Amino acid sequence: MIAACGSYGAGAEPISYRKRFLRNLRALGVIRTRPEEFEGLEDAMLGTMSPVAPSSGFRSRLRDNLALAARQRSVGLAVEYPAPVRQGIILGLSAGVAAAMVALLLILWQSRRSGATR
Amino acid sequence: MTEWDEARGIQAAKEDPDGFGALYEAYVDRIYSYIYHRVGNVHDAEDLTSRTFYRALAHLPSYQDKGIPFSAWLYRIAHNLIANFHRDRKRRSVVALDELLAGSAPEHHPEALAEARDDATLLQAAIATLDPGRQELLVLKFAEGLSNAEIGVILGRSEGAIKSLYHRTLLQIRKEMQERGLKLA
Repeated sequence: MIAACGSYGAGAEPISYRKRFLRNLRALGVIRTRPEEFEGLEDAMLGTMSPVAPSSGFRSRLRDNLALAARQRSVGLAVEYPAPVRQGIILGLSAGVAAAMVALLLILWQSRRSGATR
Repeated sequence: MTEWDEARGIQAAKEDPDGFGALYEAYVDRIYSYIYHRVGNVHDAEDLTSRTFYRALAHLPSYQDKGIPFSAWLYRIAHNLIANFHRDRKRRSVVALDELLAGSAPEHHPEALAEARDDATLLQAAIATLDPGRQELLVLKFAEGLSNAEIGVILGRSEGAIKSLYHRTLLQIRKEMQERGLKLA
């Protein structure tokens, strides 16, 4: 296999016949795999789309939350993404308002009953 | 993380609740960067990154390497969440230019910086005209440094299809840039 691939430098990986053939065509200028007019564009996009790292605070918070969720899963609890705090506040307030209205209605009804029996 | 380490890490995560942390540390930066470039702001990127890993943790017992690497599986989860995000919020996937440029090397000459910002702005504007699929291709290729084969696995397409799509995408961007009067050296 090594002999069939032809000569190559020490430490280099053997290349296939197809790759050698294409490399020779490129050397002769018969084909281009990377058109020159794209080189500047690709370089510009490399500069614009550089990797973005998360903040260390976010990384550690998520790691801790996932560790807790993993332990919950190990004891049979379902793993769910925590609902946003705002949703929880809205739900809590709505439940509180509903309970207060029910209590108020009960008080009004009780007071009417006690007024009617006098 | 090598393939062997990844396989061991996955098995360890399935057996031990604390094992998922190693997988998280190996991929959180890449997944976050990918999501950030697709949604354009830190808040949504953090939210979707969290959702990605929570979903991965929940479905880890059913994951099997049937020719799809774990990293590609994570990218697919993120990809689906991003698609849902854009559909639900009806937003265009525009990259936040200011935050991108904040990570680049500082230019002391204000005119050079302004010119660089203008060129980058034009390039971002040209990229923003692309459909989400092509934008995603560019993010995976340039921000994540993935090969056409790896991108094909994530997007469920052949390597040849990705290569062809990439070529057509570059042609479209070049055309947009020329129409906006920008020449790239």
